[in-house]
Amino acid sequence: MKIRYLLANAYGMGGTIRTVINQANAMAGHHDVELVSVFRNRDNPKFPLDPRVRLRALVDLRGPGWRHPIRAWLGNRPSRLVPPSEVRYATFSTISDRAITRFLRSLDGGVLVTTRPALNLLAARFAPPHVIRVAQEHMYLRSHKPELIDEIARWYPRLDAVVTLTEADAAEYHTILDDSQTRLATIPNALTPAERAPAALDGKIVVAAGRLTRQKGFDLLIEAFATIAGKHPDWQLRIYGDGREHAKLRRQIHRLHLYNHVFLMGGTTTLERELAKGAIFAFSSRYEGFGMVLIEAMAHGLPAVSFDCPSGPADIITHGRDGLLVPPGNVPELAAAIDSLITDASLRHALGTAAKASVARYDIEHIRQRWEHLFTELHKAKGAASKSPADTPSAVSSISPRKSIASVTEDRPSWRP
Amino acid sequence: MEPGHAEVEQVWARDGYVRVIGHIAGGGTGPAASAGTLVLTDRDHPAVALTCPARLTDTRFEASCDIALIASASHFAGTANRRIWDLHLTVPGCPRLLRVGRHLDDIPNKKKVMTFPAQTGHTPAGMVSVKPYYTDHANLSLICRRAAK
Repeated sequence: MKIRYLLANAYGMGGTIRTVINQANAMAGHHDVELVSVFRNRDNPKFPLDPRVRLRALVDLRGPGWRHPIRAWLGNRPSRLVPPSEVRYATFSTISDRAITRFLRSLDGGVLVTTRPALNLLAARFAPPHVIRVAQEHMYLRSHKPELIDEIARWYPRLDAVVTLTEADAAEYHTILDDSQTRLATIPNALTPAERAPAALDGKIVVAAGRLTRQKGFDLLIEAFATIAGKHPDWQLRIYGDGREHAKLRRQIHRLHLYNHVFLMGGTTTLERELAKGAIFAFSSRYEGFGMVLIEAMAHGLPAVSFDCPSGPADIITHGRDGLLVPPGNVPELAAAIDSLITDASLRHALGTAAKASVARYDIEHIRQRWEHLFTELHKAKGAASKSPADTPSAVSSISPRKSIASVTEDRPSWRP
Repeated sequence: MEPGHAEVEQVWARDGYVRVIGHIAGGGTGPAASAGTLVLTDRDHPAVALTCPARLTDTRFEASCDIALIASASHFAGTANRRIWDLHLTVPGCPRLLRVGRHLDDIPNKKKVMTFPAQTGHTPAGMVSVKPYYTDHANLSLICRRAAK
């Protein structure tokens, strides 16, 4: 089977990129796999790619704007095809509209996996129907703005499958896609295959990791740690990641005089090594799609404290058995839970051991088989559909990759002037 | 054994003082409490130095310097708008100045990762901000800048 993964940017860092590269790598031994990145801003991806996976980019952003005046000009013109309600609207442009539609129309079959709302919507609109189109939801339906949910409800019925990370989210999708043929499935993220050293549970380091944005709630974690630093001055908090809230978080650390206890460590490409130095993992997100780094931390045998935010942590952690869940956004409870793990080494060891065993269910081989199964079923369904009398070979060729301009204008969304 | 450097464990930048707490790596001054000196050397004019008392107990040291003192010593001649003071420790029985720095943990890139807030001191020539920072080599220094008048 030919499988293509379409990512907004395969050259960046983050949970979605890591997950999709893991999937592509896992599939590479069994199928012909291509990873297509809409944008390219670096020479090489940040995460290791299996050499059997072919990588290509549709829009190359490397090099200064003055040397590429047409690209810079078009790149500054807002996208006409991506709805403004999509969170990453601003990263798309006229230039990416052109490149993505050209790519989608050129497809000649196989499986196309798209990985964020903008790309899912474009695949639904522009990929030929004989391509098996699978949309991945890396957040959850209710995390999107109402205008984007309207677009999803309008276009996703054209897709072959929508795959969510949690059962709860699949149920949400079911309510808006109930009378369509689109198949709904739930497949969680897989653990990145890696050599994982056991965590230093008798050390004095609390670890956290994620992009430094409001979503990740590091401001709440730092606030919680002010209590901890007072009670346990020999403990420290290390936060790994980069992001636009860096300066703001640093000011908070300075204001609370936590600069001897809380460190913004910056981004790292060797997070496994840093996680293994921790005695406790803290997960303070306001919301999540899944919480990839949480299962990675648990795989080191780290006891985790997490907000019970939507969506993911409650699927991953069984409170009191393999981690601790606290009410979302509740800073005193978060501090109390971290404190309970600091003061009770045997609890750290018990939760850590259970955590390691529990996340074995996210093993890459196990998750790969679930994808394999889904793709095979979709392939069979597509085969059966194309054998129907209306879909003779000549009919297939009539929906050739090159759609006329007129049909694009029909697809023009209502917000366009 | 001759001490190597003064290893920082904590730096506090608050209440008008910069307080440095740590231990002497590779040596000590004996179990009794004794007195040492924290020396602040002007990086561009090494002949200019400020001193503040440091308390030594076995291998531990602790010293506080007053922001007002540092600010008033930081004249900005001509177009210069910053002055840097490098921190050293002197201990009895060791002829060498020990550089104050943080080298004995696993955290790289201290200049970016371990940062401290600035405090301001009043001088006749205007306000001066004083901020501890780690150099590229993870040694501790103070940077003084002209703040708003």
